[in-house]
Amino acid sequence: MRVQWLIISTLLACVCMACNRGNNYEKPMVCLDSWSPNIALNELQSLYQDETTSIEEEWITEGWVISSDQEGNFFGSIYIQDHPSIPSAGFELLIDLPDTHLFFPPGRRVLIRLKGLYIGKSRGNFQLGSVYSFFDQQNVGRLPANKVEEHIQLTCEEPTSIVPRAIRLNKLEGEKAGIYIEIDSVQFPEELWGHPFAEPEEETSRQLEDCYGNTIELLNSGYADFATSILPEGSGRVRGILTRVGDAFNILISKRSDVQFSSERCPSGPDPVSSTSVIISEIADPDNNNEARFVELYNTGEEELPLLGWKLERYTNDNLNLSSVIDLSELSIKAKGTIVIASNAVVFEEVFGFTPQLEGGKNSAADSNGDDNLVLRDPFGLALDVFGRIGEDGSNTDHEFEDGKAERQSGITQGNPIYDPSEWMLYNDTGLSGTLNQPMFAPVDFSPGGHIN
Amino acid sequence: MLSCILGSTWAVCAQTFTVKGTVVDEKQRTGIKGVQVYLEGNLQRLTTSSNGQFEFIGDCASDCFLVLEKMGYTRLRLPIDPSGEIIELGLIILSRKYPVEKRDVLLNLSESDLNEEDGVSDVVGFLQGSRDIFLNRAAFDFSQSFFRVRGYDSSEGQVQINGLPMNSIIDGRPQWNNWGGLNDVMRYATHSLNLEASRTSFEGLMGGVNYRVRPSQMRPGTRLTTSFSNRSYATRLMATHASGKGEGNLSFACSLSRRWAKEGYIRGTTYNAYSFFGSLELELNPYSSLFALAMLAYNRRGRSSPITQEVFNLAGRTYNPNWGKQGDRIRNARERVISEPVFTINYQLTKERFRLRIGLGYQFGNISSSRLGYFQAPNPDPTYYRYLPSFYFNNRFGDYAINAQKASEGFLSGGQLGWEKLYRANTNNPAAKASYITYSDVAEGRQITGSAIANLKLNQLINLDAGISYRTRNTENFARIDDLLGAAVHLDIEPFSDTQNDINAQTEKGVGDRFSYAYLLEARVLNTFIQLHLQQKKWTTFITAGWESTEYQREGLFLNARYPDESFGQGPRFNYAGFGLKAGVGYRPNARIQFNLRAALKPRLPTPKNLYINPRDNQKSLSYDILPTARSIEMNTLFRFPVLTGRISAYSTWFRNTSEIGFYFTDSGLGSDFVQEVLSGIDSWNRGLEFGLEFKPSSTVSLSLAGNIGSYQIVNNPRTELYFDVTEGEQNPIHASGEIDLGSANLKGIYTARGPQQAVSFGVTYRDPDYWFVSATINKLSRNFIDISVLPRTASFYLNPETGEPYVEIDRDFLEKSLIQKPLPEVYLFNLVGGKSWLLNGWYLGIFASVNNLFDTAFRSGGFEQSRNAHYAQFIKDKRSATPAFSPKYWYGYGRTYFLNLSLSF
Repeated sequence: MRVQWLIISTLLACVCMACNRGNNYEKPMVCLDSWSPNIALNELQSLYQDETTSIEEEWITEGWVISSDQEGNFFGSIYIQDHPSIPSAGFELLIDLPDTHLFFPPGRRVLIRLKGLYIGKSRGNFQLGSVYSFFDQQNVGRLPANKVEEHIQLTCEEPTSIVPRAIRLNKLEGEKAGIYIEIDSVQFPEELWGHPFAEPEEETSRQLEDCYGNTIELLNSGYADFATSILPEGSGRVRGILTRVGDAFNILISKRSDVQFSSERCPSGPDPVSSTSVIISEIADPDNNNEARFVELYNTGEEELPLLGWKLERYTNDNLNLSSVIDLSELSIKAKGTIVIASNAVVFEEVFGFTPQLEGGKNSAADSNGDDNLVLRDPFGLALDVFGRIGEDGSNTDHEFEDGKAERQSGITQGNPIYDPSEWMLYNDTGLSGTLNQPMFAPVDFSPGGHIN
Repeated sequence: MLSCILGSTWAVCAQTFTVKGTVVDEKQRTGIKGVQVYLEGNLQRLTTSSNGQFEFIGDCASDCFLVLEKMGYTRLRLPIDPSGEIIELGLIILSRKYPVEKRDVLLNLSESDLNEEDGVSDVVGFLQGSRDIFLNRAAFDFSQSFFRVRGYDSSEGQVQINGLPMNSIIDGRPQWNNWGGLNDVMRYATHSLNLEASRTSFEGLMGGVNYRVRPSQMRPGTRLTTSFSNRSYATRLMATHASGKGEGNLSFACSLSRRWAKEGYIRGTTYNAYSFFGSLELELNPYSSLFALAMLAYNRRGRSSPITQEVFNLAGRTYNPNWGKQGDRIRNARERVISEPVFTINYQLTKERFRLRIGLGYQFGNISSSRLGYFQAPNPDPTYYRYLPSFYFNNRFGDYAINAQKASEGFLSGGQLGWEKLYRANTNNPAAKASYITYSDVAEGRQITGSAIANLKLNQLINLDAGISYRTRNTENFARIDDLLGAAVHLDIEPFSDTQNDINAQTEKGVGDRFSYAYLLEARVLNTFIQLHLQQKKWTTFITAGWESTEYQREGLFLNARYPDESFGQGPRFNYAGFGLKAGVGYRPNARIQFNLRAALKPRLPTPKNLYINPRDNQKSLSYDILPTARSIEMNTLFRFPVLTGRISAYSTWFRNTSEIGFYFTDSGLGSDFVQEVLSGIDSWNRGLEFGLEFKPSSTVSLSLAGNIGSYQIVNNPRTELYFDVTEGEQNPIHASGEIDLGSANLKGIYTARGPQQAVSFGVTYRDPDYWFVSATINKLSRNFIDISVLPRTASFYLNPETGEPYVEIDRDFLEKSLIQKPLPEVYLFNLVGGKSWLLNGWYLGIFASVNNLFDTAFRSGGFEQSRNAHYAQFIKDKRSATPAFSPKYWYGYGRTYFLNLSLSF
C-alpha cells in the first residue's frame, strides 16, 4: 500500500514538472524578407490609367520609408520611394494605424504585396491603400489595421540614410511627387513671424520663399507635436516630402528638426534677375606682379543690371568641386560697362591707378594663377558664362593664362556656358593648343575697366 | 456502571454499555470486514473483524447513535437506548452505496469563472456537498449561466475551514481557488442554508459552509482520480491518502492534485494548476486533539473577455481576444496566477455537552493578474472598435463597404494578439523605450486568523453557541513589469495625462520593478456571535446576535503627479462596526413536514472594495454616514413523504444604502476622461420563490422539479458621482476639483445583473440496483439581465459637451426604447449525467460522466452595456447604426461540454 502510494505521488510530481513551461517564450522575428519584388514603383505608376483601380496581379514591390508619424504630422499614411538616394517614384501608403513609425520606421526597406490593394492618384500624388466611394467616385482609402501585415513587410536590412533630392523652387515642374527632397536658402515671409506651425486641430499651410520670389507651401497638421512651435525667423534648409496639389507643390515635414534655419535672411530689395548679356571679359595674371591679378566682367546689354544673387565661382586646377565663390550681390553693372574684381584692392590701385569695384581676396576667382576654371552663375543657379573646363587643369591647354591674360574677343555679346576657346585670346607662358606664348606685364598689357565689344 | 458529572446542576449521567452485532452485506449476506463502528460525538472507534462481528464498549448520556461506516457502503446510524448494559443488535445490514454521487466529483466551477471579477459562479463550490435538491440543481445545471442563489453576491456566503473564516477581507468573497483541486479532503462539511442557525458563525444571508478538515475523520485509504473535460481544464489527476483513525494517536492525510489544459472550451484559456495538501493530527486524549494542515493551491490561467455581438458573429462563442501565438505556443496576455498557501493549527475538545474549537491560521502569498500595456502605440486589442468592420460601416464620409469587408477578412485571419508586432514596435522605437509591456497587478499579502467557537448543550432542549474570530491582513498592491517584449526600458509615465507615477524614483524601470502604483492596505476584522437554540418536540426557535467591527488603512508607496497630496503616505484610518440579529421559529407537526420562518438584520460593513474610490492612485474614500444594511426574511416548508420530498421557500431581502464603484473611459455630456463612477445609497430588493421537489414513484426512478422564480431590482434612484484626475494632458478635466455630483441616476426598477432570475429544472433519474445511474435534466433559464450603463440615465446625458447646453432636439420615443432594460434571451439547456461503480476485492472503482448543453445551444450568460457613449448625440448615433461600435459586451455560455471522472479507492 505504501509502495503504491509512493509510486503514484512520484508520478504526479513528474507530471507537475513536465507540464509547466512557465514564462519561456521564444523571441519572435521582428522583420521578414520572404517576398521577392517583381515590379518597380515607377513601373507601377506607368501602368496607372487615370482611375482608382484594384490590383489583381500577384505583384510585389519594394520601397524605402521616407516619412515618420512620430511627431504627429502624418496620420494613417506612410510615404515610400523606390530608391534611398536616386528616387524616381514615390507613393503614399494609406493605412488605418497610428504610430506607424514603430512598425515601419523611416529609412527602412519595405516590401509591399500589391494584390488586393488599390492604386489611385489624388491631386497628382500616387496612393496605395484600400478604397471607398464618395458619390460614386472611388478614392483610395486607408487599409484596415488588421490587413496591414498581409500587405506590408518590414525587411531586416539595416536602416539606410535617405538622401534628399536637392530641388530649386524655380525648377519644380519636372519634379516627381512623393519623394524626399531638400530645399536650401528658404525662409518664411515676414508677415508669418510669431505664428505657430499650425492652428490647433486645423491643417495649416505656411508659405516658404526663396530669395528670388519663388514660393512653396509647407503643409502642417494641427495635431502635430510641433504645431504650437513658432515659425523660425532666419533662413535655411527644409527637408520633407514633396507633394502636389494640382499644379502647385507642398512640402510635408516629419519632424520639427526638418526645418533648420541657421542663416541670415535674404536681402530685401528688388528681385534678382538673370541675363546672358554679362560676360567675363578679362582675366589677368601679370607675370611681373602676382598681387595684381584681377577679373573683369562686361555688360553687353543696353540696361544696367543689378547683380543681386550673382556669383563668380572658381574651380581650382582640376577640381570638380567648387573651390571658392565671390558673391556679386552688392554690385550693379552699367550698360556697356565693366566691373573689376581685384585679388588685392590695394595693390591693384597702386598698379592700375583706380579702385576696383570689389576685392576677391587670396585664392578667389580674381586670384587665379592661370590654370583654374571660372563660372559666372546667375541667382537661379544657372551657369551663364564659363571659362575653361571644370575638372581639367588649365596648364598646357587652350585655357591656360599663366603669367598672361585671357581676353574675350570683341563681338562676343552673350555668355557661353560651354567654353569655346575661339571666343578668347589667351596669352600665357606655354603657347600650346592655339594660345600665344606671350607673358603679360602690368599695367601696360592689361585693360581693366574697359572692354572693346 | 454509572458515572455522573459531579457537581452539575442538571443531573445528567453517562451510562456505559456494550453493543454487539454482526455487519453483513445487503446482497451477499456475508460479513463485512473493516467496518468502522463508533458512537456519534465520540472519538472512540473500532473496526469489525473478518466475519463482520464487533463488540463495542462505550458510554453516552442521551441521544445515543451508533454509526457504522465503510467506504462503498451507505453509512448507517442506529439509535441506541443506553438503559441496558448489554445491547445485542444481531445482523446489521449495510447496503452498497450508489456510485460516487454527483456531489462528490463536482467540478469546482469557480475554475470556469469567466468574469474578470471573481465571485460570479463560485457560488457552486459553496453548494458542493449539500443534499438540498434545489441547491444541487443550482450547482450542476444553473451555474452554466452564472446563476446566483437569491441573486446574492458570493460574499453573502461564509466559508470556514475548521472554524477559521476564509472569506477575503478585501471584498468579502470566498476564495475557492485557495483549495482548488483538493476536493478529496474538502468533502466533509457542515452546511447551513440561508438563514438557518449555524453552530459555527452568524453566517451570511446565503448561509455558510464549514469544512471539517481533520485527518482522523477522513475516510482511510487511498484514492486516485483521473478526470477529463473540455471546460476549463482538460486533464486532472488527484491522489489522496488518509491514514484514518489508527491504533496510535497520530493520523495524517495528504493530497496531491494537478490540472492542466493547453486551452479550455474558450480558445486561448491556458490552464496550469497544482495543489499540495498535508495534515497531521495528534490525539491528546479521547476528547481532544490537535491538528494542523498546510496546503497550497497554485493556479495559473489564461482568461477570456466578453465580446460584442459583432465579434461573436465573426468569430463565434469560443473567441478570446486576449491571446496570440508566439512561436508555437499560445500566449495569453491576461493570466491570473494565484499562490496563497494556508497553514492552520486547530485544537478541538469534544465532550458530550461541550465542544470547543480553537484555530489559528496563517496565509501568505499573492494573486497577480497580467495584462498588456501600451504607451503611445496602437491599441493591441484585436477587438478595439477601430479595427472592426462596424467602424467602417459607421463612417459617414463615404461608402466604406469594401473596407468593412477587408476588416472582416483581416479579423478572421489575424484576429488574435500579434506578439511579433509588439516586439517589432519595441525594437523600432526611436525613443528606446517600450511601446508595449506585459505587466501584472499584484496583491501580495499576509494574513493571520484566529478563531474560537464554543458549543454548549445546556440541556436536552437548549443549545448555546458562541464564537469569536479575528483576522488581520497586510496586503501590498502594486503593478509589476513582467516582460519588456524586446525593449530595453520602460518609462513609468501615465500615458494619457503624461504625468509621473512615482516621483520619488527614476522613471526608467525594468522587468520585476514596481511601476504605475504601489500601496499598502492594512485590514482588521473582528467577528463575534452568540446564539441560543431551543428544540422542543414540535417547535424550535433560535436567536442569534452578532457584532462585527472592521478597520482599514491605506498607505501609499508612490507619490504620483496627479494626486500630489493624496497619494503618498498613510491615509486616514477607517473604523466600522455593527450589530446583527437573526431569529427563527420552526414548527414540525410530524416527522414528515416542517415549517419555519426566519428573519435576519445585519450590517453590510464597507469593505476596501467599496470604500476606496481609486486606491491605486489616491486615498479618497466614500463617506458612509449611514452604514449599509441587509434585512431578510424567509419562509420554508420542508417535507419528507414516502414518495415526495422537498422544500418550498419564499424569501425577501432588502439591501439599503450600498455602494458600487466602476472604472471606465467615457465621452460624457461634461467631457471625456477616465472616470471612477461611484453609485451610493443604492437600495435593492431581492425576492422570490425557491423550490426543490423529488418524486420517487419507484425505487429506481425519480423525477425532480427545482427552480427559482425571483425578481432582483434596484428600488431607488441612487446618487451618482464621477471622480477623475485634473492634470491637463490630452483630456481636459470635466471639473477642476476632480469630482462631480451628477445627481441621482434614474435606476428605479432596473433589474440587477445577478444571473437568471428565473430558473426551472425538470429532471429524470434512473438508479439501477446494479450500481449505476443515469440522469437527464432539462433547464430553462430566463430573466437574465446584463449590467446597465449608468450615465445615460443621469441628467448629464442630455448636455452637449461642446457647448455645455442641453441638446434641443431629442427623439424621446427612440431614446426611451433604447434605454428599456431587456433581459437576455431565455435559454433551454439539456444536461446528462451518469455513472457506475464497482467493488472488487476491496477496491472501489467509480466512473462518472456528464454532458452539459447536449444540444450545443448558443446562449449569452451575462454581460454589460458599454459606458463609452454617455451623451445623447453620440449615444443615439451609435444606437441608430445597424452596426453599433459600442454595443454591449456579452459572455457567451459554453456549448456542448463533457466531463469524465474515474476514481479508484482502496
